[in-house]
Amino acid sequence: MKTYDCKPTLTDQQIIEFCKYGYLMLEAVVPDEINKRVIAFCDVHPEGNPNDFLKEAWFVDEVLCNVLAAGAVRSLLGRDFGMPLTISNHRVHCPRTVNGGWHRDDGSQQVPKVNYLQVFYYPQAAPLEMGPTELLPGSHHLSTSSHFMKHLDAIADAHKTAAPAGSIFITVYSIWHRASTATAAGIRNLIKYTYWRTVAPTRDWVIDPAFRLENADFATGSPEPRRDWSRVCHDAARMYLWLRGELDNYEWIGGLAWPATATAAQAKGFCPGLPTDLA
Amino acid sequence: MAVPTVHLTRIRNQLEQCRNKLAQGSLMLDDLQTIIDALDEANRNVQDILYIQATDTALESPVLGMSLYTNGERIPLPSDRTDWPYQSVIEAVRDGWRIISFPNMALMMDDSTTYGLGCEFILEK
Repeated sequence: MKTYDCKPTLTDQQIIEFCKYGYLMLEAVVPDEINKRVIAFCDVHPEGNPNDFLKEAWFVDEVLCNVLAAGAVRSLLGRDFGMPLTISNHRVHCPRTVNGGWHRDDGSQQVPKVNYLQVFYYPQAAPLEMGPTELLPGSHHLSTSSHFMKHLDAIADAHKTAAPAGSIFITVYSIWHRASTATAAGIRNLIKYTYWRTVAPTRDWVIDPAFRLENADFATGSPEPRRDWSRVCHDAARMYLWLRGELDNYEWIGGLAWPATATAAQAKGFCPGLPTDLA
Repeated sequence: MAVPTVHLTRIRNQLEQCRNKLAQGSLMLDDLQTIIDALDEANRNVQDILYIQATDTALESPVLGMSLYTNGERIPLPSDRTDWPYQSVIEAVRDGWRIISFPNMALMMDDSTTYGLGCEFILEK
């Protein structure tokens, strides 16, 4: 497996946001001329697994090693991360109607471990009319087999990843997702691939000197109705501390103790639940 | 799909009436249309299913997710929850849906894990 290294680009709070929601959208990070070249390549290689992309230096350099995307991957997987072994293309002929279809990809395990990342790339614009992939933010913290979500359809706070051409979004592998209905006509490519961890997790990303763990915001912006608020904070904190390689030092004591942000805001020097060796 | 006996009996009776009318030379197009309507009605007599995932076990709690099958087909629902046909389980009940499955309380016995989308009700018409 080929490995790659570059400078990390994410800060602690950005890592925490990824832990909370399970995805990170990077809009229009791939140049237009590369997007056009990718689309032309897909027209010649319309198969579901166009692995010949991996032989194209321009694709590897500008997409797989894209500065912002690879920087985010580097932040989450550490140095010398493994490059994709295969390339998939969810190439669909629009319009089409999608009912149900919720799943998490085969082999999904529950967080907090992040040993690989599932990444999606739109070489052309993917507005709502072209059926962008729909994600359920935070669903990587829910324990459900794909076999038990096939009856699901409309979900209140699902997010459609409508984005301009050249956008890349990075996800926790186990996030729930599905295709969405496309009302416009045309072909929509969605390139998908996986990066791999090769080193033990450690806090090896952009360090903001002002960041304080006791004040970190682990709550989601709006109430997440499926889990208790304290559980939302705990799940994100557990995953974040795993990425720091420090999960063994953490024990959730429950209640409104850390990582519940309200307690942190009121802490004033006393932060119950926060292990002192992590502060 | 099996057609319920009550419908088969009704359609058989109508066919017998048509046969008698035909023998008497009084069969009308409307008589045949009656049979067609009866067949359509029999086809419509499929169990409709409504899955509702709610925030809580209370029937009044807000709906988080919804799937709808009518006449044997899954019906696409709009993305915007405010456009869904019901905003709570009790609204669906008031519209004639009958609950056939309540949220599985066994899942609540392990509070270290969050299972699925929420409290799922299954309703039928």
